[in-house]
This record gives sequence, C-alpha cells and structure tokens, in this order.
Amino acid sequence: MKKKINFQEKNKLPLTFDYLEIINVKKNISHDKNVIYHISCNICSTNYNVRREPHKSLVRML
Amino acid sequence: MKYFNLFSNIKVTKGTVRILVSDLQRNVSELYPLELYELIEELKISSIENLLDNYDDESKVLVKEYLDFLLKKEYGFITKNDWDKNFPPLSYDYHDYSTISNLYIEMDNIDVLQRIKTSAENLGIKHLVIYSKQPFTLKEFVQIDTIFENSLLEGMEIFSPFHDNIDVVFLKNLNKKTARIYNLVFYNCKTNPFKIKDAFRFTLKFIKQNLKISSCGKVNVDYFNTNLSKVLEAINHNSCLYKKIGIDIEGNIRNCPAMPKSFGNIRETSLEEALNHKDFKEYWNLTKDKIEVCKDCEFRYICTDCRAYTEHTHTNSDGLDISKPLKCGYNPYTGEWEEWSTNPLKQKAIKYYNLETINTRELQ
Repeated sequence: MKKKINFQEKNKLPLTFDYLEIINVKKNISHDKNVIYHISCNICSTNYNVRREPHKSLVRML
Repeated sequence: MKYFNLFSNIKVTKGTVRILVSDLQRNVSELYPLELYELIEELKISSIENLLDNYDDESKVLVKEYLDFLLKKEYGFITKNDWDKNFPPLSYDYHDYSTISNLYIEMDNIDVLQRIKTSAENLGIKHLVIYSKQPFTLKEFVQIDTIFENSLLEGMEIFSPFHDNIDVVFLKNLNKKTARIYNLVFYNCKTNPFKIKDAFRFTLKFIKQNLKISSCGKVNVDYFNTNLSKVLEAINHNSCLYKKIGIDIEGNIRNCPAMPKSFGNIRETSLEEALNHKDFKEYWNLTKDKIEVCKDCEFRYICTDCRAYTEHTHTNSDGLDISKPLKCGYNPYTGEWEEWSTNPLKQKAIKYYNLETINTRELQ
C-alpha cells in the first residue's frame, strides 16, 4: 500500500512567507554611519582595522 | 517605600537657567527646566513617598507628572525599598590608549606627511586633519592615503581648495582609490559644480567661503556631540586640546596650529620631542568647569572648547587663558543664542586676532 505522505503544512505559514519577494534595492554606499569600512593595517594581527570617525568634531571651521 | 533610580548612563548637566539631560547610551541630549534638576536631586536621597509628603496636594500632581515623564523617557526606574546600592554609578574616568589621539596639519606640501609618519605611528595617532592651502590633484590625494596605508591611523579629514578638475569622475576615482578619508571639504567653491547622485565612503562638502585656519573654533549646536567618550573626555580634560598636536604652515609644532605657543619646528624637532616640552600639555587638563561663563553652561560637556580664539578676559593663577571661546554666541545666563561676531563686547578680541577682515557670513 502506498504510504500517504502529507506535505501540507498543518498550520498556516505567516503572511510574510506567503508573499516573500526579493527586491533588488540599489545599495546605498553613502557615508552611512551604519556601514563599517575596513582599512589595511599591518600592525594589527588581522592585517586590517576598522575606519573610525573621532567621537567629536576635531575642527570646527564651517 | 519606592525609590526612583536614575540610570547611570544618564548625565544631567546643570546650567544657570536650565539643565541638559544626556543619554549616553542613545547619544541624545535634551534640555529641561531647572525644577526637574531639583526633583532628580531630591529623588537621589529620599523615597518617592517621603518626597511627596513635602509637597502640597496641588504640587503633588505636578511631581507625579514629572516622575511619569522621567519614566516615559526611560531616564530611570523605580525600585521597591532601598536597594539602589545594587546599581553603582558609572565611572567618569576617561582612558585613551594613544599618546596623541589626533593631529591637525596646516600644509601646502605633502612632504611634511612623510616626515611625521614614523612619529605618528609611535604616538598612536588615530585621526588626522589636513587643511591645505594648495589644491590637491587626484594623484596627491591618493598619495596622502598611501602614506598611511597599513598604519594605525583610523581616519582622516581633508580641507582643500576647490579646482576645476574636480568632477564626478574625479570623486569616483577618489572613492575607489582611497580608504581612510571620512570627510572631504572643498572650500572656495564659488558655485555648486555638479549634482552628486552616487554616494561615497566619505562625507563630501562644497563650501563657498575661503576657509582659513582662523575659521576654526566655532561653537554651535551642529558641533555638539553626545557620546560617552566625548562627555568623559570633557569632564576630565580640555575637550579640544587634550591629546591633540598641530603643525602650522611653517612647520611649527603646536598644541593646535592656531595656538600661539610653538614647541619647535618639524625640520629640527620630532613630534615626540615637542610633546616632552614642559608647557606642551599646559591646557590639557583645563576643563570647561574652570573656564569662565562655560562653567555655568548646560552644554559644557557636549561642547568642544577653543583656546586659540577666546574673549581674552580672564587668566588663572598659572597664566592660562580661562576666558570664554570667542566664537560662541550662547549666553548661558539667558539661554539665548546670538551672533557672536557682531557682539560689541567681543570686538576688542576680534581685533586682537585680526578677525575683523573676515566678513560675518564667512564667520558663520
């Protein structure tokens, strides 16, 4: 006898999965504070460092 | 008994007419009336019940409103009984591992960078600010970035005059070929040359004015920074000059290129030698709490000081200038901002620094 396999999901999937869609959004490479840029650094054992901005405005010309 | 506990990352700075509440975790500062300060202080020593007993029925409503407000803003939390000893205060000590954290160079030739490269490494300099009088070509920008390739320098900021070869292609190449620049300002740019659709890994600004080294030292809300490192540094040290080193256009080593005292020339003296001069660090521990007018200002820990251009009115017993920064238009006794360059009381100092030739708009 053929075994009946039920692939049906018992519970309804959340709505978000029903309409999952991949949208190709142009990546914003602006100077976004959330973007971390790495820089090369031989002194660091990893050979790279993170580019960081100072915690204050170093010069105030404008 | 219920107690209100202020979160230890909430820094309350009392001014003459109002208070500034700085959230050092969310990096936001907000202004509030002085009476809130009194309430916060009372809540530190007495329970909510005892505190309410001191007020009449009408005022009790207001106190409760203030308490609700403090909770809503998440400035603190309520605990039952006196267990606030379980929440020790935040240490206000400031630690910076580098000997010098930032270098500010006024230059017209990039050779100076080669000369100071080793010293910059030795001192652990993390940030470099270049103010150039000469316009840089793309090759020169890349050269500057290459000099510090593989170094511990974490970022650099460049102020350079605008020139006609700067276009979108120029900037795209600059973006591709440099790594450490985080802020780029092209000054003396008479017209906004083109619209930038692409964004770069650095902040880009085109400024109409002809910037000079004497343009520095402005105090305004745009330059206020609320973050733990900044506030801790300002509590313990001078918020501008601490761990700063400057080189002026002639190669003189100073605490800041605009400061009057020189500690040798880069041609004969190394940055390390200049730093060892007994007077080099004289302003490093002059906090805002010791500066006239600033000591009464609610913004004193989020503002960055300037000792190069001051009102020239007060000197302390060690001969240090403790006057209010000249380019600050804020009056902490009225809580109002006004244009500093037209203030009649500042004209003498403006004349002293030869700043009167710069028109008001340029000073803005």
